[in-house]
Amino acid sequence: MRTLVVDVPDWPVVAAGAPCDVPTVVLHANRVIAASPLARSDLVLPGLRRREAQARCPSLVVLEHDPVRDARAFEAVAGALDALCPRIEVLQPGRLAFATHGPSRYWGGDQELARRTLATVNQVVESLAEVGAPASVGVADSCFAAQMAAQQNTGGAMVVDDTVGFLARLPVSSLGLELSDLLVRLGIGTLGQLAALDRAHLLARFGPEGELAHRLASGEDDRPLEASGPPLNLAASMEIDPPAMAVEQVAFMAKSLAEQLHADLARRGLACSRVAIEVETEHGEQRSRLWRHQGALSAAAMAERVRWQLDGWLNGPVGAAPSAGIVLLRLVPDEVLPDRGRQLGFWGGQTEADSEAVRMLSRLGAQLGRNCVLVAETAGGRGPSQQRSLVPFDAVDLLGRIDHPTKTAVQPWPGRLPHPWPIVVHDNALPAEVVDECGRPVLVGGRGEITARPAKWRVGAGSWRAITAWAGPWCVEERWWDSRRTRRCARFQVVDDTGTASLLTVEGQNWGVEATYD
Amino acid sequence: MGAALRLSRPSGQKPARRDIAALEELNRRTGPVSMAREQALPVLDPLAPLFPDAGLRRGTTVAVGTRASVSLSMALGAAASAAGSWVAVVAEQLPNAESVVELGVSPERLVMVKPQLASSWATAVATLLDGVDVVVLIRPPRLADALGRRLAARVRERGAVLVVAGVGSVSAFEPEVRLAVVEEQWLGLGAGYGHLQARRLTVEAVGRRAASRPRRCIINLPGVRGAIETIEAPPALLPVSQVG
Repeated sequence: MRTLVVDVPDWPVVAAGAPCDVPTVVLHANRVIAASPLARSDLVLPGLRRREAQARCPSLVVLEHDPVRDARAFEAVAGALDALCPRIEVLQPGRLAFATHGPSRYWGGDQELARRTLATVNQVVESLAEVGAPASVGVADSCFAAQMAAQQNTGGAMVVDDTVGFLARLPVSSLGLELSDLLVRLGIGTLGQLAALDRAHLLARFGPEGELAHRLASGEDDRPLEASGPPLNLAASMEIDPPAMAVEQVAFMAKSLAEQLHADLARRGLACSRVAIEVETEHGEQRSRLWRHQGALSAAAMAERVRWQLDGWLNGPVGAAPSAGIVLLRLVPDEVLPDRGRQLGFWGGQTEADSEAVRMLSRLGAQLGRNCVLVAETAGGRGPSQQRSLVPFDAVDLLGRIDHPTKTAVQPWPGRLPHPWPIVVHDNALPAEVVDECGRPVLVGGRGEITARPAKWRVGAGSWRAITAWAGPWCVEERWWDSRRTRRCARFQVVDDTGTASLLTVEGQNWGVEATYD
Repeated sequence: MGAALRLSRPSGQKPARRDIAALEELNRRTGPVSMAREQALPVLDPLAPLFPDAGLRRGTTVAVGTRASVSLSMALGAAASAAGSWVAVVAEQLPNAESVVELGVSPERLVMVKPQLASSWATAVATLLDGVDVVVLIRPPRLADALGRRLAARVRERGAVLVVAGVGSVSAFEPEVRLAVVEEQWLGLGAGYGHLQARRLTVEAVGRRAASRPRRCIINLPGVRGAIETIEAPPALLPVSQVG
């Protein structure tokens, strides 16, 4: 189906209203997701980490990702385009699409429609922010091809007549699937080569993802043929009494409504890929918006889109805001797919609980400070606490880690303690004393030989404990080449008469408790 | 909100009421089984005899005594973590992450929280209970009774499990089960030779009301070949080897 896609690049920067004389980036999970043109000219591109970006451009202004702000600002663009076309589908804040069949005939051709759309969007974007690359528009036979056309031609309108020919020259990585990596290694570099293969073979080898890739490369829509109109009476609606004026209230109720709709669809083996959210106020004002998603929309995603739409309407430009409270909320599944489901728990992939936990962690980090909420990352080392280092939670892609847990081979570290590791490690070794039967301190010589058999020990000025079993010394000499950080010590494992086991170190004359096996 | 099932009868009559009822019953019985949240979180097999439900009942608090408290409390969360639950640890002195992972907790679902002030413990725990299934507190500061009761109520409401380790009096949290280590013996270390290989613990659990008779079990924590093992026969120790 001939589609027009409007793409405003780096929308988060535009939505934040960044000034045009300061390089600005927007970060999410410590990585850059959008950069203003001034920042891009300094080679600060999406995908870099915060520190790298700041190193490339010291005067960078860093903003945090706020999807609600993005969606609210984009509502203004979508609202302006409502005059041109009735059924606008928002793909994500910054990108929307609509079918050109009707509007094109009304306005007199694809070129004219694209030109008008571009003018309208640019007008709205300019009123929002001075910065930002201009919007671009692409028209082609499928949504994916139109997106590619818009991205290729920044700042203009591109109408593609020969979609298949246009796609044939694009590299496979533009599909944005995990499969692209594998295809490149197999020797398939362009979409044209991919389209030349047999679809049945791709389906047999790679499954539904291969079929999707072939469909996109051949210029067909990514919705499968079995996507049909939903059965009647599947809309979920809710009346709100008394009328709600706050976004939070309605968003909260929308959550349960979305879950109800999702359950209804799931019971019929369906999943929704496009949903129309209709909102009506007490005075009869209505606002309806189509939201489309690649694949199926989960209940949480639907609720999120309700919140975006309401925020955009209630907190948007004053002229368009409603004059009364909201009384009716309706979720209508516009397009459903048979629900193939995702085998979530089987291979240990992501679940809803994981996303909820990650959201909670950001709240906790805001309350306590990001350095107080830590997660474990594999490191490596000889000492008991060096195997895994604790890093702040937002320095790591938590959800990505669950899908792809890093399995590093255990590196050999000569001088490392054997399993089991002590569970309580003291950051600074607590001073201790170890003596033999006669009360003389026990020392370890230069060649690793111990001067006497240890009989009792104590921590600091505490009471003496008799040693019932011990082993050592395990000598460690670390970083002999670095005069500041060099370390020569010997470790002992000691069990005393209270039954506790401890890990003691001796460095020169000084004994210390490095860890306790609690 | 579901639509009524429509039966199409060839003669065009309206479907009989009992037909609809029978079909709905059949639909309900053969529908996809939803993974309803279970009432109890799983616990490692060697620890199962300690709990009356053979698992950690959601919404309850478990108190672990002062001896071997850190290892035992982390081992309680191990099976739940492997099944997909998140485990959070709140402590002034955080336990060694590698040791925790060795006990069986999966590192991708482990969170360690170190509150700077004693007053932020309560907010931290309350927020954690929102997203995490197992929250382990290691030597928490003394909380007012009212605050402890409120936290316990929140635990019940969220269906999480709170494990409090290493404090003398935990009555403010109203724990369902109190675990204590009665005997502790390290294996593998001799007089100047060997290395620590395993620890035999005798753990005693005392519950409330119906489960108030103490239950005991003997486990190896940490075990010789992994996290935790039950004792059937004396474990075969690894041969003493030169280390280093």
